[in-house]
Amino acid sequence: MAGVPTHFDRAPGEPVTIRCYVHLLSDHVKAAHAAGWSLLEMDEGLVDDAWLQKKPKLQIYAGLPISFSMVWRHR
Amino acid sequence: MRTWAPPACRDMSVDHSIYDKRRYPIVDVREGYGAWVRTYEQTVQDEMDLRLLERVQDGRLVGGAICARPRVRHRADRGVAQPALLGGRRRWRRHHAGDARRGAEQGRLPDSWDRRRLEDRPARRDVRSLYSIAGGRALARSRTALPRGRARHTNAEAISSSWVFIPSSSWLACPLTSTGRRASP
Repeated sequence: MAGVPTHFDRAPGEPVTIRCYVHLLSDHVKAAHAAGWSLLEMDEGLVDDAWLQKKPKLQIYAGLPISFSMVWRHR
Repeated sequence: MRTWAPPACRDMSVDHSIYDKRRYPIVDVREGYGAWVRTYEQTVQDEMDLRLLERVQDGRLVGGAICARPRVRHRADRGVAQPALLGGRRRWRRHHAGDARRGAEQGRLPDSWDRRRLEDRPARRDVRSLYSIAGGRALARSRTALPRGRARHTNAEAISSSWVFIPSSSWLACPLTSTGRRASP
């Protein structure tokens, strides 16, 4: 995905973005390795029907990844 | 164990503005989450994260790992993760509905609850580093199975040394863009 910074409506009709810091996937891995962690698992969630039932406005993102999980082990 | 150092990307950070198509006013993390906490529960739903969590294959974590959304993690830290994961979320939410709001009113962010727990614990220093750079939103704990199907919630590093990262859907919309604090100096 192109990325969507965290945002919410602070008041009706008053959306704001919370300051974001971009961490590439490799940043996670580099930091984890530096901390002595190794990646055991990784999975991704896609915008599927279940997602769209909860968030219909995500239709434009259907089929795209929207979440991921990582399982790390400390060496 | 190597000492953690900021990855190279910290010096060549990716420009956030190229992701920001909406161009809404930008507020800092404390102000933003402090304001959002009043409606966060209605905006961000954890069911989708839990669905992903259920697919984790590691036997020590399946059905027991705690997703990283602050409110879920907070439940876990209070030792009530099991009812939270097995359908007691609404009941728990009603019971503790005021926690997040009270925290915000006292100037605390939800993440700060966990951050405090990470401080001054030598065994967790490495975790703290990653936790910080990950925006403080990706730390999770694990559970370990006990006989007769019972489960005990415990610190991951104490039992399995395994951790789960599941970003909350507030930044799942951009898996590689997290919101949060920079690592402590």
